[in-house]
Amino acid sequence: MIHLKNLSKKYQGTTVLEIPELKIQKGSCFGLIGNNGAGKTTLFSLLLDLIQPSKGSVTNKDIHVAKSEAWKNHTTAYIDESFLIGYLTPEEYFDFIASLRQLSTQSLSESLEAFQLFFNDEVLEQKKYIRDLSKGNQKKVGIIASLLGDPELVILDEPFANLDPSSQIQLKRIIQEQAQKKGKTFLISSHDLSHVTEICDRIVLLEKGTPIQDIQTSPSTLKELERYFGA
Amino acid sequence: MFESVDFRSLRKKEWKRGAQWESKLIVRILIILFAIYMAICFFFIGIGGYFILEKKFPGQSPSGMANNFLFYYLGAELILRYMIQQLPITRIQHFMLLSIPKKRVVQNVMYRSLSSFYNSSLLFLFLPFAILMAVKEENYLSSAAWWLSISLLILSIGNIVYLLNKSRWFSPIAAGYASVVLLDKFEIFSVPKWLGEGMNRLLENPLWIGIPIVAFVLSYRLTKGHLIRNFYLDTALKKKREKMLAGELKAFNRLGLRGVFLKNDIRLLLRNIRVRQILFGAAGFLLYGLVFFPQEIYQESAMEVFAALFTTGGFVLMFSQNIPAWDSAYFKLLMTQRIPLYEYLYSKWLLLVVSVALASFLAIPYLYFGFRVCSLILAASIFNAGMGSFIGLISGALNHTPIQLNIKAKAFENTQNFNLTQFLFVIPKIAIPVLLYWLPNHYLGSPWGVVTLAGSGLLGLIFQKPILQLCVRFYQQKKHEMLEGFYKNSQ
Repeated sequence: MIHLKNLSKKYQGTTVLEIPELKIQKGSCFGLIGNNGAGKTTLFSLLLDLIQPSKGSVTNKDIHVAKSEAWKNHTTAYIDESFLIGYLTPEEYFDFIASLRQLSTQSLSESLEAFQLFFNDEVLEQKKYIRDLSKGNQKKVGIIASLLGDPELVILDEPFANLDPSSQIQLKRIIQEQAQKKGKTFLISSHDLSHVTEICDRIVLLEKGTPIQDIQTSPSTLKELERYFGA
Repeated sequence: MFESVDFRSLRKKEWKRGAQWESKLIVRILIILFAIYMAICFFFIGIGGYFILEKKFPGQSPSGMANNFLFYYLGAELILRYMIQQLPITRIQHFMLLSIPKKRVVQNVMYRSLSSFYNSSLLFLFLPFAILMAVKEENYLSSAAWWLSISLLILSIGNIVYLLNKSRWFSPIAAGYASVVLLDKFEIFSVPKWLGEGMNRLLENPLWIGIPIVAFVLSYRLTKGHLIRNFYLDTALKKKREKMLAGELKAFNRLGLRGVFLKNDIRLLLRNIRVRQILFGAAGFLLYGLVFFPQEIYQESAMEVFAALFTTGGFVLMFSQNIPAWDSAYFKLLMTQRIPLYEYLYSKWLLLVVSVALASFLAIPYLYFGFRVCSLILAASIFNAGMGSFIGLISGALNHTPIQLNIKAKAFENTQNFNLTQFLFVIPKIAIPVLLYWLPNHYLGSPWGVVTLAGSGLLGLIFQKPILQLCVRFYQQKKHEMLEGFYKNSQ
């Protein structure tokens, strides 16, 4: 589904990302881990054509992301708060996203209904602007918005950070369900090793901009990763 | 250790290390020049005011007359400051957890507000007046006391505004002020006269200065105490929560994607302080013509086009220079969605055109100044809609400074929203229409200026589609630059 070739990003001579080749299959849950500064967010920004690569290319379903915008038809993302419109209420925001993805009001409310448990009565019908919500609830709005309209590829940067424990468990369930039942592909970065090993079937470990391990998840993966980060 | 915290050096670093500080330096210089200009204006009002009072009210002492007006001046000062003077909240927040006594942080804020631009009228308006008064009336001591007590009263108002900003006292005080004005008007009881009388008493006996001193000390201590007591995130430092504005807006759904974007823009306009200021500004511009049209010396001059342009184009000028920067806070979202840029820009353009149409409608009372003025306003509004809007869209694409939507833009303090490129763009925005009017008028005679001005606007409206498509291409080219600028400068 995604093919990175010879991709590199340099800022004033310093290389922040260098990936010779990376392919991501359709229908997989792909985890990206690494310490701060490893290049996770840079990689996501390149995938979304938010920054331009110094060298190499990104193709998404054979679409060159820098040359055509057709990938936007099947790709969504939630990277940070700059994906939210602070002066809208969550309902208005979902409405806006739904109309961009040509989702009818009916199917929008059905989709939202399915996430009631995740919202925990703190997001919808609060008569609050998104900018006045807590960090955790803002994140919920962003994540759910990225799931609207059945995209094939969903990119989430640190989805578990700022969420309370119940919401983290809920979110894991949602991602697994969407990946298995609807065949969605997820790209997820996280600092939470146990969550990533639990939901992702493949994990790539970035260090200083390059992938140093590419792991098919197995019961021993968590231990291995903990050893790496502990050392 | 903390005794050595130097707030001033922190402020310097904040400024020097911010984005684009070189261009900010130029902006700063322009602002300083403007401030000097204002100071000179104040100076002449101060000096001139004395002579005008002397001339208009012969036989009465100008100082006595000035005293009678003092009450109204102070009232205006209170209202104006309430609208624009704000507590520098974000600067305080950083120091909350540091081991610096609250008292010092608050004291620093208050000292700084003493030297703020708002207080410059003391030096530049009242001081020249007082000096003139001292020289002409030969009462040096009491003139000094007079100036000091006015200064103290104005500074007290500056303090009180901090109290009012966060409380519900403003409406009662405003109501009280209004009733005092009414009581004076119907000659029941006159506080203004009473205050003026008090100031006259002061001129006779400078010892009365004790009262303003007490007022100042009291207001200072009250405000300081209030700020220290409320040095918590959820009290003095909290931003007010607003009422929900612009809810459903269902009517726009029929317009398709354009309607969706328009809906957002209307919410953007009504729900964010920074953008709402523009609405007030545009309303102010609507009255701009009143300055020029009644005066005969401006007739048929370039100044009249200038006035006509601002009358209906205030919103276009102020809003368009920040397209797409208004959306900077969530620009990444927009750039990862299926957003047809044409529809996006079309909705912004439509908003500009509608604003011009609305302003033209509201400008109908200008008919009072005759057909000539009205045809000029109409021509200028067609230009604003058909040309000004596109020039604005292009200039906006070059503006990569993000905007913090919910923070007021403040003259002389917050230069974050002032951008040199935009400043330079004012020249074509104003010069082109002025030339379009003035040149034909000068060489061909009277109606041709209006005709070319309106004609150029009509051309823009007729060829709206291809021009907008050019804009789209321009925006596409600038996409990554915008993203980078909005991201970097918001850090």
